[in-house]
Amino acid sequence: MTHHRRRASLSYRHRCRGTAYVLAVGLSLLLAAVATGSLLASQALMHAGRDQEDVAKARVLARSGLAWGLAALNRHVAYAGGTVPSTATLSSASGRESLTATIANSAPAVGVNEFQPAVIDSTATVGLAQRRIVGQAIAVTRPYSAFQKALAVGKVLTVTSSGTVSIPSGEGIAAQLDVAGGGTVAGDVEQSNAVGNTVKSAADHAAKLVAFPEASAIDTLIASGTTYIIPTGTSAFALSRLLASPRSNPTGTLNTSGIYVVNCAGRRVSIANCRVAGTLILLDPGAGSFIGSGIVFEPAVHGYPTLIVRGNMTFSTTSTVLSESSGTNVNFAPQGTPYPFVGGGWDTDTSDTYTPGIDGMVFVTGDAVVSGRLRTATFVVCGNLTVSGTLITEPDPWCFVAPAPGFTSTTWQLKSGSVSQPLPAP
Amino acid sequence: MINVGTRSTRFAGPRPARGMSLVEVSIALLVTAVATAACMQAATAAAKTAQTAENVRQATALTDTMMNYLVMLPFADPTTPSAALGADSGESATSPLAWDDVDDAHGWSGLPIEQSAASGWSMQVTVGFVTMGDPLVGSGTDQGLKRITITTLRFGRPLLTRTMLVTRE
Repeated sequence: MTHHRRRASLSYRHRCRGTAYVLAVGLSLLLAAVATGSLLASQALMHAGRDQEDVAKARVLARSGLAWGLAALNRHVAYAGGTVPSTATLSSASGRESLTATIANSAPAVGVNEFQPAVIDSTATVGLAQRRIVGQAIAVTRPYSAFQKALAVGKVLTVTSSGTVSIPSGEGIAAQLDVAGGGTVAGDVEQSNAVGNTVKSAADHAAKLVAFPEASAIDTLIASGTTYIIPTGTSAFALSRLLASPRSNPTGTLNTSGIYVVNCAGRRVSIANCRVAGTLILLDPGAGSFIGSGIVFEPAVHGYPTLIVRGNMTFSTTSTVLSESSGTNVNFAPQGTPYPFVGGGWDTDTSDTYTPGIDGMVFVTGDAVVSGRLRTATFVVCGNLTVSGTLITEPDPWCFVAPAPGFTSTTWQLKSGSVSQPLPAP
Repeated sequence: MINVGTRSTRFAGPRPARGMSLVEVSIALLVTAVATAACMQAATAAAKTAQTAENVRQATALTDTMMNYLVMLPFADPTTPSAALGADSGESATSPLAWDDVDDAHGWSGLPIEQSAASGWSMQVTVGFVTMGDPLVGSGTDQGLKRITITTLRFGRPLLTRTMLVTRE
């Protein structure tokens, strides 16, 4: 009996030996499994997050390729005209990121327009993530915003104490720098510095950036103009009692758009008692040049400037009328050049008088001075303008609606709805 | 008497070992403790990783919000065009809502939109010119392309950087 119990006890002890180890190892394995599982799950989450971030980065980078393409189109001289671009390719890499973009004309033979846009194809890679974005760019041509103003001055508008600038209610004056001088400005003035008390303006606020034409903007009109023959030999010459229009050029051949180019070549020019039904372009007038009284200007083509000055000019105009019978008799409204030029009448006599004024855009690439009384429309001065007389101006809407050739800027922009995200090319 | 003797004989012999020995339990406890410690470490690492993943997700959202705001700003200052980067004279460099062009954000650092200082989030923005030939490389001059770089930080540590090019549109 005793032996039997001992054997049973020994057997029981043998059976229990190792149970603690088994329990401990089992528990450890369970813990390890749970911990490993959660670790793996969190790492998978982390990797998924990183991959997602790489995808987001690749998408943004691919979008950047479109920005590069637009910048290239807007910067490249050959593209700026909105004509036929060649293919441009970008390949850039930094660290884990790489960007490849190409610009191609969808139909090189016919040029670029709304129906044949340039195609920007951008592919970005970040790590293993890759994204491709394709967009179409079109060249949008629009007139310079300076033409929307009654008066646009590229630098400082100085209105002296004796000066007055008037524009119609609701129209705007834009001076890219200051308006100063102590005179009177009646109009909505946009300028970069405070008007203060020197100018009594109807309103003033911070100037908005106004786009002025480039110096080359007038080249197209010059190229399509007819040279106006001027006296030679002296340092100064005068244009007086002349009629210039598509049907009248006393000095030479006619220009169908009435564009006449006077190459002053640094010589002083004075213009008075003239009628221009067209576009008069004065190139490089010398110091002391001025436009005097008896001036009746209007464009022959809606939207074209009627006076362009490449250089500086003084306007000492007055309210004196233009008379056909003053001095040499001249019929300023003969057949073919009615007054007004569009929808007006003509006659054969030389007894008429005309109210002075410029009924069209005046564009001066340099500085201008208004010392007399000047009535005009859309006065654009790229340099400084000093007004010591009276300037009455209003915008000519045609200049903005139908600007002259060269008086527009071209901007490439993405065609609405054209951006897509196709699969990356294999 | 016989019963006593029998009892005496029974208690005089070796004691039966029921259950586990002290050594056995000690070793088992040690193994369990080591395993538990290791598992705790792993669990902590897992929690940290999960938190980091969540932070990256949040950082992505905050960065995208700021990037979307910046790309909507004009490429150049509409009132006082300047080649210099950063807020122009008279403009606030600290308030994103006061920026009127994209490079006003250059050098800005502050709280992401709709975040308090207590959240631990902060943000740094740089804007620079890049070359047309390689827009991933900086340039000193304006070639019509600007690069926005946003770095989002969590308790002062950079967590995410996002770069985007913008141009005039």
